[in-house]
Amino acid sequence: MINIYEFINNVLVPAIVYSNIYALASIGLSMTYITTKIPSFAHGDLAAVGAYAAFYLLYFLYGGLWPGSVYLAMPAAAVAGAAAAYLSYVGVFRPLIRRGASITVLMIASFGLHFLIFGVLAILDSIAQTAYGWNTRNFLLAPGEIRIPGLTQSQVTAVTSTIALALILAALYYLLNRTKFGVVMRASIDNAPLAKALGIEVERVYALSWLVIGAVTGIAGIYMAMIFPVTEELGWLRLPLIFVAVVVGGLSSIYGGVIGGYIVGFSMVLGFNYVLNPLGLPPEYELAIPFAIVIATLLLAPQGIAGLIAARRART
Amino acid sequence: MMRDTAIKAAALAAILAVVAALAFLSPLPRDVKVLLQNLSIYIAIYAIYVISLNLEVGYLGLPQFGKVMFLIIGAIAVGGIATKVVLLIYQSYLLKSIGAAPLSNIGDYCMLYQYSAGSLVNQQLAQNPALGFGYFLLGVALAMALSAALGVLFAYPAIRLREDYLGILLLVSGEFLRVVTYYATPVACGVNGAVIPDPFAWASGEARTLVFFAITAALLVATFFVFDIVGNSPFGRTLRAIRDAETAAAVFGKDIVKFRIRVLALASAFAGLAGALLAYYFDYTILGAFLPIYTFIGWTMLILGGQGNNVGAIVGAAAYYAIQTLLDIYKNALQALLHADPTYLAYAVFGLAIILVLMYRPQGMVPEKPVKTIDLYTIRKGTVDKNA
Repeated sequence: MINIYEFINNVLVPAIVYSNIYALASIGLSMTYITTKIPSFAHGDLAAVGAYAAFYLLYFLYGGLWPGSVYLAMPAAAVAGAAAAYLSYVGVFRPLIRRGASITVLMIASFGLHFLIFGVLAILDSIAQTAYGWNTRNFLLAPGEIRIPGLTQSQVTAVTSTIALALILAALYYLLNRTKFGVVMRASIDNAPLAKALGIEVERVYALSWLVIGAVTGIAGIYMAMIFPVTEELGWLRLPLIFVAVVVGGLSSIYGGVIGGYIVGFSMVLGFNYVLNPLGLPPEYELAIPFAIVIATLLLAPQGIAGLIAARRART
Repeated sequence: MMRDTAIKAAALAAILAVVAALAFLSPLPRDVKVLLQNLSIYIAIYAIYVISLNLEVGYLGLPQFGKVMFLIIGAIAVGGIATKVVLLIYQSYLLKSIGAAPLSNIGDYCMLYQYSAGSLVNQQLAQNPALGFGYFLLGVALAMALSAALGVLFAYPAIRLREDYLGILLLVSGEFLRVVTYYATPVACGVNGAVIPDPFAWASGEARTLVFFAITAALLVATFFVFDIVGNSPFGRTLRAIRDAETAAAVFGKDIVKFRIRVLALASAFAGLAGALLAYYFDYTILGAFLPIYTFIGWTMLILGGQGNNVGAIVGAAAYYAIQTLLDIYKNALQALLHADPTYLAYAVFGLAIILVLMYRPQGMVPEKPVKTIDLYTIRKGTVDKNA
């Protein structure tokens, strides 16, 4: 008989936490892609910026982490992520797009941006380490998670990250479907020349959507930092899997990335527990499972799960 | 134009000879010479890598974000296959001196005695330069053949996918290959990394470095020659046509699939060569180290140097290492100034450099020139003759 308690703790909880993290990170990358058509290699770095912003704020204000404090710092992560994303768009991508850069050129620029953000973050961390004596690498934000008696930290994170994902999705849905900005943004995405002809400042809309992208990804960074040791590469190391989630879900849909995130999280944890372990294969192969899924998706159905939406968009 | 390429290749060979004289024979201080020796070998190997990337990116416009895959294949060909062949050759000798046959239990060999087995094999190879050279050629040939085969596999998705999807597919495939081969001990000793016997064990110390540099330099000149001929031939002109207007090229009867297959095969083979050379140079390989960053280092060199021409690819590799070495030389001063490891500054500098080059000098340090084909040359000559 399957032990329900073990199943929840060893399979369901980690799968949900992973899935929520990849789903949260995918939302931003999908939005990057549908607004400015950039599969950005600097996307993971926005998450790292968010995680470090939260960390620094908590250290400066309170001298450390204590239960529940990560949520006090969440706005800081969102603001820092939004600022980094806005600057990326206005400083790097917009000028290049104006010069008619191809997708490949934009991808390379995003890679340059990754180097830049990584380097600047790492220099700041080193300076903070020397100046204040804090350990600015290989820490977890988990001690800052809310503590609920009787529940482990992972169980709490599974609940809080699900709530965060649900709230963000609801907010995005409201923003895109119930506000004027949402209408303008969807118009700019669907048909930029027509939107321009109607007097919509498409570039300003994109700049604002980059703020949203950065804010969501900054928050994703906080949840990443709860289970993965924080370094400047926090997001960069997860980037291939974020790409997997976005592509499997369908590059051209915001909500597709959420489904993709869940496929990544569950395939890794289920594959680890029910395929690799019984067969005696190295546990590290859990990474290979989502990679295999995305390679198959790209070869067989490149539009991903949200393919119908992509097909409709391709016709326009 | 064949003659043009020959002149450029000869100039490259002359530069490499001057570098060799500086790095090995000059009266410079010893540590400067060692630095120059290492640098020149790195630059030569990476130049081969970037020249091959340039054919895909600069000529054909393929978003090759999985280039590191072929370094992995090169490392596997040398550390995983050629090494095992040598172990097989010396099997009875190893059984006598160590009391174990490496190939009968790969796990034990990798974990317990591959270093001692490696030095024993090196002692044997030192007495048999011909076998060492054969082993070197075997590794290189395997690396090129396997890489070409893997490259061709990607021609199929390359026709069906848009550039963004294709770039992601290549990136993820590289990671897939890395993860799968790294944790599989039989491939190249997995997480222990594989010790690679030295094919030039007969030469020791500086002489070994000189032999290795000479061979790498010769291979670089050969690579440059091949790719420059290809790039300036009607074939290369077609590639640029496909890059600039794919549909138009197809309308004019160019079979785009066929061109992509050939480009991927050729470029991947030479990237595999670079991977094999790196493995032989280090005498050791660990497949887990081949992170996507090595793809992007190649791209950085190509963007800095200039896409669409082979001189730019070499200049880019040299410029990359020049900047890195400069930062390295002033390491202590920078460390005191920044209170941070200057390596991080190098990242920020390269990141900024890529962005600025893309914005203000997208053609790179050496801009692409109009294609020089034999046709154009003869036509011009013909006109001149008629007028005269």
